[in-house]
Amino acid sequence: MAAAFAAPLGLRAVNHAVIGDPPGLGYLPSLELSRPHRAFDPVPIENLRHGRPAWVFIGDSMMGTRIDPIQLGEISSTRDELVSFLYHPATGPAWWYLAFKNHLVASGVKPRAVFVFFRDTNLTDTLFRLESLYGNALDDVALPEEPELDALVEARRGGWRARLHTAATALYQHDITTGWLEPGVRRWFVNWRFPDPAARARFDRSLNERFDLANLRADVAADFSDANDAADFARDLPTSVLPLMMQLAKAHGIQLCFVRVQRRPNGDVPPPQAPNLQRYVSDLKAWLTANGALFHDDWGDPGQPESIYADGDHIRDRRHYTALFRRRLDPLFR
Amino acid sequence: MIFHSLDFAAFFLVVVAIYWRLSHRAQNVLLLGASYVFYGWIHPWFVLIMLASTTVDYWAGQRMEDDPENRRRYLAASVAVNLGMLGVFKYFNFFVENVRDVFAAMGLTVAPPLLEIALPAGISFYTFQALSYTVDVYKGEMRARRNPIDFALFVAFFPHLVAGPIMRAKNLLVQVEHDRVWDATRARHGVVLVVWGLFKKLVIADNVGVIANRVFSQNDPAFEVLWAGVFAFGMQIYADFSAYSDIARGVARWFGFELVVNFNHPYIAHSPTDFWRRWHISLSTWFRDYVYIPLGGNRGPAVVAACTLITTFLVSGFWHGASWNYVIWGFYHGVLVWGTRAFGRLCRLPEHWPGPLALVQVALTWVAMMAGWLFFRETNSDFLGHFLRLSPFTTMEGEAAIGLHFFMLAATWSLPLFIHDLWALARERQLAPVVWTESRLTGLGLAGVQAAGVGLLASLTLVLRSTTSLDFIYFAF
Repeated sequence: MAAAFAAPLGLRAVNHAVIGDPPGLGYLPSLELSRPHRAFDPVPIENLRHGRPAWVFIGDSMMGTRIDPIQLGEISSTRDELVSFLYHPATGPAWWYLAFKNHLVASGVKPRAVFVFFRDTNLTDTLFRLESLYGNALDDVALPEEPELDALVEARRGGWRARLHTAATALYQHDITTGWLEPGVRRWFVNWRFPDPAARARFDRSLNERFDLANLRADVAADFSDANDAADFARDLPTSVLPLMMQLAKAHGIQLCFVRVQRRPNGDVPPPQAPNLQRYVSDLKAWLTANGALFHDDWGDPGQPESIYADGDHIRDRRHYTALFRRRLDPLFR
Repeated sequence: MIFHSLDFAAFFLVVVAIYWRLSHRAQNVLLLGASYVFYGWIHPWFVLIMLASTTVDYWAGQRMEDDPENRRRYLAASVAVNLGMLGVFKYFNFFVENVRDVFAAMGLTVAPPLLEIALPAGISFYTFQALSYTVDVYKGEMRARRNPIDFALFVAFFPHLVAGPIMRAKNLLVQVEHDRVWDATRARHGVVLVVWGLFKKLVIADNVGVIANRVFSQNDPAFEVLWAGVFAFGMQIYADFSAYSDIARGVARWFGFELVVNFNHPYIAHSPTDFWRRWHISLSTWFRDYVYIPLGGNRGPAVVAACTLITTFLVSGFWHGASWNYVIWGFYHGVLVWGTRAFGRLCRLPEHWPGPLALVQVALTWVAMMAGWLFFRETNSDFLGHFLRLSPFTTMEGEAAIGLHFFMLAATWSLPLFIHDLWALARERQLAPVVWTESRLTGLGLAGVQAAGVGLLASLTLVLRSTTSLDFIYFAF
């Protein structure tokens, strides 16, 4: 048993021999210690400053498969006002918050409204798509230090298990070994089979296309998110990004509108909602409106039958949804 | 509670620390309480189901001994309660849905209610284990037990409770009833089993499981991609299930118990019959002793013996899950075992092919076993039918490369299993270097090698464990 606990200490020496000094701590030390990170991507800031959009949309594929920004701009404005996306598939509230803070607010642009798309309880589920590979998308929107978000993550993970995990990772530094060893194990055959980087990139592209939404079974689809039946708004709010987003919006005079998309209905019948989910949504709406934000709920919209859906909760016909959305939230587009 | 969780690690350390300070009787009480905590960790009501099974079998066993004239009735009560619980929790919705489909085929619409309850984890395992006790008492092969704590612990002993091995009363009850003595060597071997099990689960099974899940999430995978996924699943289920058995055996050793070996390198089997001597051994022998032999075994005319064999496999397939694909999987194996035996007799083939042909024999068996996993993994009959019609000659450009990529990826993650199996094959064939090496590994030398192996496996588990944690597959059964 001693060997099982002592031997992994050797990983520190192995890491030092292979990559030298370990990379510094990331922006979420309570979640991961020293994974190599991509640098913050400042390009969206320049794009926002350049385009000065009237409406900004933040979200994941729920938004990406619903809103057509060009169509929405065309039917909403007579002054060539733009619609901009802060979009990344398979992201969660941490990404949406950081994109809002570090891209939109940092750009100094004040759109007429900012729409944040989410499903059911995602907004207060701080760890949603933050762990495993999903979390790497945060690199593009995170600054070297994100103390507010890190405090939320630490509070949400909480308990002796999380502290033990963090301590073990700091002790063994196995996450660093994973960073350089695991890709070698996973990619050796592709690297050997396609030594030319261009051919390798083509293969990766074909692999991704083979597993895109259109090729997945309807029941598993790309929508792997599930409603959290144990959600409790009052309990989850303090450790969610919502208060931070609202503070920023107020401080910078930005109108936020949160859009709850409808999960896949059954024919014309809206998806069932457990009583606690109904209570959650009601509490969420009350809190948002009390704090100056707008709330729009797609649930039960007769204009969104199952026939307009692709797989999972994604929409097949963006133009249909975009026109519907424009009508439903008409005051914000006048 | 699951083995690869911090909750279990803390639970185990606390229980084992108290355990060895207690008398034998108190140890059993502690283990019983710990087993109920372990089992009811997520759903406490599961314990009530197990208590019902325990109570009925405890009562039935005693009544069979006290009232031998009516022992058949008490056996029937035990069988009815145990299989009834399985029927309600595991098969009720399956039957209802099939009845509905039959009526629908006749143009009639019926909508019988479905049960919306969770399947109690491990119910297929502990009910079979309890049944083995009442059947053995009925047959007079063992005496009924009078100590309720000992009997309840036999049913609930937590290391193997959820996914086996299925222990016989003759084996486990005896261990429950006798004093256990702390044995450092046994505990050391237990650590090796636990660490090897965790490595197989977290590094091999979960990583290849991700590949299998990706392939089987596709609505129209190419031939090569599909079979790479089947291969990945074949490695996943072996690594996953044998990992659980290894961890169970390792944990049990820390309490002074010895659980039976459940997997003996099944992928180096030289025939389908040999595969079933090596795969999920505790279940295979259970079906042999309590279904196959009572049905007549290989006695009688060849046709009857073939039917008995195939029926046993059909029941075994149905035991795995309430879905037709498991029945097909059982049928496939039944036909395969019967067919290869008949072919071997017809052609007068030796059981072990000589020389290098032995490798061909193992390879052919391996391919046949792998192919069978398609029936096990694909629960949707429409997809299953479609997959069986796939052809390698209609594969679009680029698909073969994706299939090869998945195959190589699964093979890479499974490499430690292959090495382990090849070592075992060499040992079985008495290859000199292996025999020589193992004969040298005794005492301190063996302890040193074990420590080095444990350290290496623990390090690799930390580094290469999958970021996607998948449930143990057999939890679903």
